[in-house]
Amino acid sequence: MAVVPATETVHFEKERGVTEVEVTRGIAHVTVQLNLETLSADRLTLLKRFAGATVPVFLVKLLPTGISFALRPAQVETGIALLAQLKEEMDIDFALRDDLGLVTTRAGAMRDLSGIMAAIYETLVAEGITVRQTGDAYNAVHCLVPGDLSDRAADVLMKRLLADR
Amino acid sequence: MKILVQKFGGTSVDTEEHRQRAAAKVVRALQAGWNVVVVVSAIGRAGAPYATDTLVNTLKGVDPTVVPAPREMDMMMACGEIISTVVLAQTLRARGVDTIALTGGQAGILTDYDFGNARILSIDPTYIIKQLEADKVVLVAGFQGVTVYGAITTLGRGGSDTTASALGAAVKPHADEVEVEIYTDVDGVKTADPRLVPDAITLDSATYEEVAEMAHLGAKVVHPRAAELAYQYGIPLWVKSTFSDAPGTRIASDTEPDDAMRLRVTGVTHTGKIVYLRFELPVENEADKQQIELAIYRMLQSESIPLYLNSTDGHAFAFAVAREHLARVRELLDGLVVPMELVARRHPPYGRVYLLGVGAKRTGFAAQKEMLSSLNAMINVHAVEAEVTENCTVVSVIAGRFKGVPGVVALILETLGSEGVEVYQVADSELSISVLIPEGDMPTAVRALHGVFNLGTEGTETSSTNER
Repeated sequence: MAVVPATETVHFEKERGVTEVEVTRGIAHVTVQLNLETLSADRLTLLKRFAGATVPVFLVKLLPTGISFALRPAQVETGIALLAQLKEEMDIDFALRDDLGLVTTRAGAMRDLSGIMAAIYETLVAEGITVRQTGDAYNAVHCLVPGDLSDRAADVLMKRLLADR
Repeated sequence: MKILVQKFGGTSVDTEEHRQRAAAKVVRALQAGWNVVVVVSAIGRAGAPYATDTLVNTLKGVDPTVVPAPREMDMMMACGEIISTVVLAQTLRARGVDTIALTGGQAGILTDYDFGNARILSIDPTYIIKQLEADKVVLVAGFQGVTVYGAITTLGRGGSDTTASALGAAVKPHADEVEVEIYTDVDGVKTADPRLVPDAITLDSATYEEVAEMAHLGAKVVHPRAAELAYQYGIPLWVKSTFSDAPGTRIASDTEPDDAMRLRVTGVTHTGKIVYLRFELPVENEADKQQIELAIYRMLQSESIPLYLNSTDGHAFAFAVAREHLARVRELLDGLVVPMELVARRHPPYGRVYLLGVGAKRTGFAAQKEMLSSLNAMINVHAVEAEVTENCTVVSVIAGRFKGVPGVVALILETLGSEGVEVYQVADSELSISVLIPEGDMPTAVRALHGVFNLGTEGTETSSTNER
């Protein structure tokens, strides 16, 4: 290994704050209404049927009357077919919105960013962009928005959040 | 030159016996051919004479009505680490080891001016390298640095872990090999809290992202800021015990290809007490719902109250806050009026507002409702009363990768259902799946999930077809 002269310093720690905003297009969001009397069991049946068909779901949320989740582009067609089949077999109804965009805001130290959700919402609401669903991780906040507005959403978030650094 | 950075936490240096154990680790490293940099935390936990909390309380005790200046607070807080560094240096010197003790500033750590949570701008390792070349063990006070004008700063929570990673990165260009060891009171990163799961095992390895996600979701491992630095600079990080010779857990980059479909479960974590709030609008109006969400997030942001498990659906939205914030959340949101539209038109209604109610008593809501009642003829007042579920906790399954692996949420719900654990909500990310459950069911849930993913055995990998 080449040895650096001892006088050279190393610069550190990434800037706090948002580092990038990325977009994944072609996401579908499904809301399923289930039988309230068999709600928990039906949620499980639905999820297992999707698993059995090797269709992963994400942004899963439990609703008082059912369940909602998102499908990645490669699984949308299979997912729709599966839902149609389940509708015939079970007492379910579903609504699907496709061509959504998953806008992911990434920050190395999201935990340090007080108010990031407010800033994201503020920015998107000001642009008239509706958020269909949200999720978060230690380094990311995800927002599901209309696909035709997802690039615009990413642009305004980058302008706002990178400027806040 | 091979350089090893060893960090010892407060409980590793709080007694003579523990300091001797730490010193033995240093000596062993020297005998193995390493040049050693030691980073030290303040001695002991809260209540101990030189613990950080004790020093802070001493300063605040001068006059509880006068808030200490951040600059002076940092000077006070940094004392704890300086004391323990010098004491450990002397402990090693008594064993015949040539040592030098440095403050963070003397070690070349330059920070910004964010007192109490300073960010490291740069590290000049010149002096450290010179001392290592002279075969000294260099001890550096953790948790601190200096500004360009020499003001002492502290690095915030996990600051000593951060110091250790940062120094590892700083010396890397000057060494053939660098590693960082974080010494604590457990053998390494565990698959679950061993107090809840007796057969929780110590992981041989974990990725930086897994460790960061575990810390985000309640586990006390190495501080994610330290893991992030180590990741950024490619420094292998070990978590080991001061009190045993167990090999510990190696934290490094994920080497699996991004499209690997194999589920690799790392552990099960749990948080403290959580409260879940759900707001349902009386009418479906997406735009109004978003405005109300925004108003709430702004209010909570103004108090630096973090939110978890955000979700939105139809005409409702929900989020969770730590139980300690519930009283303040009630004060902020109960009785909050969110105006939506106020227009000049010929006939009423001239607009609509939403009135929020939070909590069983809803005194703010009741008072506002009465005041607004005189306006009912002119504007529409929509009541939005929060459904509050108290006494919850979040239990999470952490995995190296979930993306593209089907059936994991189903497996988790089925497992918890079979144990009689009600799940209020689910949240998933690329690295974890979390469930919001009654707090009283947390031990059962942690144990059940630990078992279903076989975390108490050597194998923790599950193929996507290996499900019930």
